[in-house]
Amino acid sequence: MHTSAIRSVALVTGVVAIVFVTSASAWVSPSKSRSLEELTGIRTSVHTSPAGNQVQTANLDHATYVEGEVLIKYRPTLTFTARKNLMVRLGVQEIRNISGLRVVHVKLPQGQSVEQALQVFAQDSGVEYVQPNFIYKAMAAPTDPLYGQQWGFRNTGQTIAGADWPINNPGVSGSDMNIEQAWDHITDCSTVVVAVVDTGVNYLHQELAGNLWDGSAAGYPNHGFDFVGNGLPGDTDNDPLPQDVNGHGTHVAATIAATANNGVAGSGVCWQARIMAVRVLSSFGGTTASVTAGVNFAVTQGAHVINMSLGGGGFDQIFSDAITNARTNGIVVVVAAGNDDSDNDVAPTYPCNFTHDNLLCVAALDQAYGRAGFSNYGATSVDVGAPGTNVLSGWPGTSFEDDLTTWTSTASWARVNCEPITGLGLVPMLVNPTNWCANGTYANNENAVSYRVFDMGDPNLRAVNYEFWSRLNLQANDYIGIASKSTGGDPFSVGGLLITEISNPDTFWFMSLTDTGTCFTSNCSVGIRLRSDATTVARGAGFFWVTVNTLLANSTHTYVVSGTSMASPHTAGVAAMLRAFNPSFAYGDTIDAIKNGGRSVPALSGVTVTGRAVDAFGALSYIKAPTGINAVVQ
Amino acid sequence: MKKRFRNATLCCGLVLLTSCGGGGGGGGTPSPSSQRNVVISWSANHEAAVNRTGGGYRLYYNTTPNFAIGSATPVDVPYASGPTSPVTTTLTLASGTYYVKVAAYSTLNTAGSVPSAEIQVVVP
Repeated sequence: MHTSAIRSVALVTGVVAIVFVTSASAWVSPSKSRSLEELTGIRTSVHTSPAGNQVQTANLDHATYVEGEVLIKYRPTLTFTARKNLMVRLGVQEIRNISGLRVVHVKLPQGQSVEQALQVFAQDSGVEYVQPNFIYKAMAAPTDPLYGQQWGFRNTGQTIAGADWPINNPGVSGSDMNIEQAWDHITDCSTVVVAVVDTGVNYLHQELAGNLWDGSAAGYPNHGFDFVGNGLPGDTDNDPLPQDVNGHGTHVAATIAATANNGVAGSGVCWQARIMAVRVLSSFGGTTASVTAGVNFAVTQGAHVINMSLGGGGFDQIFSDAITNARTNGIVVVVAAGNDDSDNDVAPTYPCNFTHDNLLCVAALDQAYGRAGFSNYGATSVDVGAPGTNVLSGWPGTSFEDDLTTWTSTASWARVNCEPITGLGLVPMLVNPTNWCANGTYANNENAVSYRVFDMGDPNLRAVNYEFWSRLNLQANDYIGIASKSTGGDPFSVGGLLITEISNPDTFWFMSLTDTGTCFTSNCSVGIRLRSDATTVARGAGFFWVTVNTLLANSTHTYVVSGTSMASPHTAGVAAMLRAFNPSFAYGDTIDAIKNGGRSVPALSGVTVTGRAVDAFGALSYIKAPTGINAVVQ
Repeated sequence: MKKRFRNATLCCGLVLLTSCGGGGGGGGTPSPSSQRNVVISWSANHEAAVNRTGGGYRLYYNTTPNFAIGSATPVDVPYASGPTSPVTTTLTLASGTYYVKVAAYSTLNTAGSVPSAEIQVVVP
């Protein structure tokens, strides 16, 4: 049973508890009373009236009720006239008589509080018990069509479609952030600016367009800044175009603040927030210069929370100084632990291992709240865990992984399955030469092309990013090239565009290319070519897959991804929620609430600082012990 | 329109402390003639829900150091008005040594925070 269901039952049970105690006309045993309180969160108390009757009232501290009204259960011995006399005696005006329950709903006299009425009415011999007129409301859960796939928010034991992490899918019902109970109290974080320091953000995505930081007055009309350049027309380093051609940053941003109840995709931790898009990573990563410039931008422009789903470097003094500067400005910084399944206490990785008290480092949990097999950990360096496998969130556009099985190839290309990749085992490849697995070599004077046609005719298309994953071993003056052609067919033929061509590689090769308009047609062919000279050959070229991501205006797309990069924004969203709910919070208050309000998870015990998973309601309801106690005897 | 229902049924209001018997006043048998007012104060908590209707503080005291708060009836110091809940209350205590701690609560957390560090109060 999920939290919201428990809460709903608890409210109903609370009413039942009151009836039970009263109708039994007996003291509730202490153990029973405690049990009810534990179950319902409702404190009850029993009074003895002047007539010696036990009169039950309820102390529902956490429930809202209608002021100026109460409900009175009158004694069964009361005649109609006696009941009317009771109303006069108490000075109330009857609104409705619920005769089957011997309950009358009354309006209190002017100036009498519900609290006063409960105390006074309980003393009347005609009253069996009296209670406030509580307000019930629908539990907060988004109606978005893919919300049911967001297990981190509500884990029902559902199977996540399109999963990229095979373990514990489905997981365990209830292993989630307990966020629906938090949403009963706050969904609007629009007073909080969350800087997503990442690959950029598709600020044209329907899930995010209404939840962006407005930087227009400061000269940043596109909601942030780009410190690495992304290949869009006119876009160079250091410009206010933080678009996301990778997808990572958009996914992170939508986890924090995807618009809820808009009929699109899913929901974010905050249904409204202000995402500041700070692009510091290209598809090849970032640098000290780009990342710290991004952090500095976020600080200068007034962010309250910074999410950095990035890492991997050694100790970096300038990066450390940037976090210190964020702390000086009261900013909570949330970062990812890393995806190497390693102990960060033993092999430090930054920014996770920075020891600043405004920084939270987050491990990834799977759908059964086990530590995700890839997630880094650290008893002194990783603070908490959060959902990080098979996370559905927004994506800039379409995304798919092409395994090159449908490519049109010349005879010297073949599909084989003999090349291992660490962690994945043997991965099928499209190779040249065909006897790659027997350590063969490509031919001299080769001119071998393989290509396929993509439909890139969507009028909302703004960019396409192709990522080629390959293994190359070529001699000097032998080349591997990539080309496209907007009219289809061999992209290396007349009319095609040679995008890149390299020689003499001997490496696992990753190439990220962004097309911003040269091949925006429904008949766009993209291809590879191995070209060799007349002398000396080597192993050749093998391509594992090609990832194709589009950037669309008005995108409604989502994607399921795993990583500590996904766990971090779940936590940053809760930090934003806390800050919005508690405007007086300093960074330390937010950090304390997340750490101490978390839920103990066995898989995190001993391998994280707290042993806890982020619990949104736990953090929201956490209260620090008061300080500064002083006494003066007069 | 909405209002939080404060804990109306606690027997111990501020002025009633010494007549409650047991609980918070459980440290000996105070003599009315030797009673003194003791002003207890603390720093305001930052949680918004502590500082609005339904929130507040509970003060616990006993003559035994390191006492369990469950053994003492709390003195409720609920939110009344303004930006924060009260951060001071006055106890009327007989001569003796007392130990005092404070917890905060809210509508989201009716059980309240863990108690503050305990202070010692010597009433001459």
